[in-house]
Amino acid sequence: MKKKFGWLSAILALMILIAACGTNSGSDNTAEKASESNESGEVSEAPYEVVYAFPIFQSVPKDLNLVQDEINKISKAKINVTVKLLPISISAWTNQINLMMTSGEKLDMLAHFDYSTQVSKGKLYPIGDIMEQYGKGIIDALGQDYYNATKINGKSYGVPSIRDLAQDYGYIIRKDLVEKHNIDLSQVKTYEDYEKIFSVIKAKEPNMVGVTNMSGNSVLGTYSTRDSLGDDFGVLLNNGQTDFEIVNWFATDEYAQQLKTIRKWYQAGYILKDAAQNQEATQAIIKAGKAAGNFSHMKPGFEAQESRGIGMKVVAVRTAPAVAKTSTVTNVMLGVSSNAEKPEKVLQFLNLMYTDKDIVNLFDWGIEGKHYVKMEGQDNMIKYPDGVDGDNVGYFGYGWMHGNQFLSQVFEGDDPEVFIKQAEFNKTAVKSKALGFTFNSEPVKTEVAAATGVLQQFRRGLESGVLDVDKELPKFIAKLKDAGIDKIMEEKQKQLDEWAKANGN
Amino acid sequence: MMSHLAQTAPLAKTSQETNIKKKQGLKKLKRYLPLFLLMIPGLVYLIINNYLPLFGMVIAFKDINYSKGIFGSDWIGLKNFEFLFRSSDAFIITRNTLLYNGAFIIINTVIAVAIAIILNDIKNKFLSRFYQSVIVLPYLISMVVVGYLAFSVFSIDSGLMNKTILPMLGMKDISWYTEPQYWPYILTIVHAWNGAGFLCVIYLASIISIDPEYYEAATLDGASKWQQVRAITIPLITPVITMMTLLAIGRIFYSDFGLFYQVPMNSGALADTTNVIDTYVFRGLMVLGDIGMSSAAGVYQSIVGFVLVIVSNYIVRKVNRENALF
Repeated sequence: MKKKFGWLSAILALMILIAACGTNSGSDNTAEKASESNESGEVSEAPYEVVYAFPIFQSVPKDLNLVQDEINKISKAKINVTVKLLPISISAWTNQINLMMTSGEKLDMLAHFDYSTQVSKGKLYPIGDIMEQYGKGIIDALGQDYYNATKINGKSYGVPSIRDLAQDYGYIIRKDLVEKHNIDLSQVKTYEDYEKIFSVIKAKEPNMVGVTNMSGNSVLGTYSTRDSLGDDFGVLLNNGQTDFEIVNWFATDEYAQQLKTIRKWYQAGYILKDAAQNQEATQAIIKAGKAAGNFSHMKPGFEAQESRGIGMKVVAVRTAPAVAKTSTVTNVMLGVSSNAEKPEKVLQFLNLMYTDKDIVNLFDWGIEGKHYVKMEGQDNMIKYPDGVDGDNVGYFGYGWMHGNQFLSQVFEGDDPEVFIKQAEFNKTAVKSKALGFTFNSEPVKTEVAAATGVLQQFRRGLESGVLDVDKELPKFIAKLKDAGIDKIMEEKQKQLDEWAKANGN
Repeated sequence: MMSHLAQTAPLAKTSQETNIKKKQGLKKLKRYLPLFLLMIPGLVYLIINNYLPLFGMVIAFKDINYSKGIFGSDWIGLKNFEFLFRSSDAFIITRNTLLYNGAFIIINTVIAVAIAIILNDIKNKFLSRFYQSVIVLPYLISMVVVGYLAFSVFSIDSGLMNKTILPMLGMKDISWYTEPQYWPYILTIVHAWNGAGFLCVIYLASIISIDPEYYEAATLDGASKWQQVRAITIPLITPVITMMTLLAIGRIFYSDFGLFYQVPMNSGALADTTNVIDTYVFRGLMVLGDIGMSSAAGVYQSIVGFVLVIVSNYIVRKVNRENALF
């Protein structure tokens, strides 16, 4: 018996040794190769390949490689760089990127939605260091204010794509219902006023509720009058207009009042009974005639976008002003991976994505004549070629993700001036005093994890009116305290004060 | 192969001269070489898939920074483990995990063995196959789908319960997804429905392999069906039951994530009775995406599972050596 095990363990040990050696020498090799190609690259000027990973929400478009070739023609001529597009399904995104980073796979540039985590985990190269030199066009396109919003401890690790960088908040409703029942939308000025719409819907359309939740979120989840400072654990009230004093949003009277209102609506039947479980897409619910509309954050051109998605005309009511906060700026960012071999080359390519109209249009709409054609007589407008529609077009891109969307052409059905309006919107939006402050949750991550769990437990039920506010809200607040929200807020206040001092406030 | 090795081993030990030993070893190697070769693919798989990832355990004790790499990141001791015990929920999730899994082990085993015995007595070949397939079917359904099946029963607006069954009994509507007290029963039933079929097939296989002569002899002696089950079937499949139970105990700290997350539709109001370690970790870390803390949770679960397996195996061995796993 003993002998057999001796044998086995000997083999095992050997195998592990071999395997360990194998992996070691493997990584050494790639490192050597990398440095070699580095040197030879400088001598022979072979184009540098930028691997650009970005999340994708549908299946990969079939003509992706054709579009990539077209982009490369331009970028190779201009800066001697080629790009390899690497779309990764959103469900596998985080894991895949973590894996690529730990295994040292080639990755130069990535889009991401959780800026502060990426930075604190060391995934991003501090491009602020070389920005002036290689990325001047990006700063010019963004504007200094919004560029500054990306700085963490004085250094920028990524830049937001240029899109709607501020958000206003309100409610959209089917246009046909408004006309049919003569609903006066102008009488809605505050959050409480929405009741005037909902009660009409309830009375006139018995099988329909006034408001539905956003997919996978609560009814209130996308309505905001505060600066969440990233994670809602400690916020600035009044959209960060008053002072730098952090408060616990969930313990404020304002929050309690909002919850009570929504509870009242729930009991009156203005909200779907299973709003806390509902996983269906918002647009599908409205399309199916189960709800008249939903709360949402908005931007210029939002009605056109939603009308297209739902397949019915909608109109919007806006009751909270447009505000730019760090979170609205950094929620879609592009950055250079800390693994990148030649960050300066990558940044040069990124610069093209913010300055070169042709490259932006290739990213956003594909190849002219194949994936879109120009509309006659209208300058900037495009549409699908004959025989092509949204279902069979060979390419689609996310304009809001790939660089400077304002250089993009406008698709049929949208306001021809939508991007001019959005640019104006960004300029005129109220700016939170803490715009540019990014909370580093690393020192209190234990507490953040615990508190996040509590949030998941209570928030959706409370903010959909399903739970009894008087009974559950105190429990919610107590559990947050228990999870350590005070410690998080203390740390956040400390960081915010330091930031404010450094930025001369 | 095992028994052969076991028999030759003492022989080799007794012989004093080393070269004889060597020769014998060589001979043995030659003789069993094909078997060793056969072992290699399995071993390689085991090492790559099960042993190499063990190095990943270091992540649980580190503050991972990607620009420094796994081995370059700072050691932070047990800090990653803290959040598992951070809040008052720590007690609830541990209790839920252990109680649920304990109940599942007992209930599923009883149901599976009972069904296996009944199925074994169905003499019609076609029907027996048919029932087997039907019973295994739920095991193959994804938990997401099971969640929606449950939703069609418990939905507040349109569920079978609130629309048909409760009115028939003259009872008032129940808001199922906000009232935690019902969920221990619902989850146990769903789990039994989902998992018992698969277990049943394993027990059925071992019942079929029992020599029919035992039953013939018992029938001649006038034993009733129930006596036969108690005196023949159960004792003869006890080793299999013990093994399956020991394996289940090893996973007692893991919970079926789909069952506890999808079936209650991630309803926070039910957390008191549906929150288990896996869902707690998922909810806390989904947003944070911190692999250090997720690994810590994994390490914690496997260590507890490992200890439990060793302990229960030790107990089984004390009671009956034959039935122990190792």
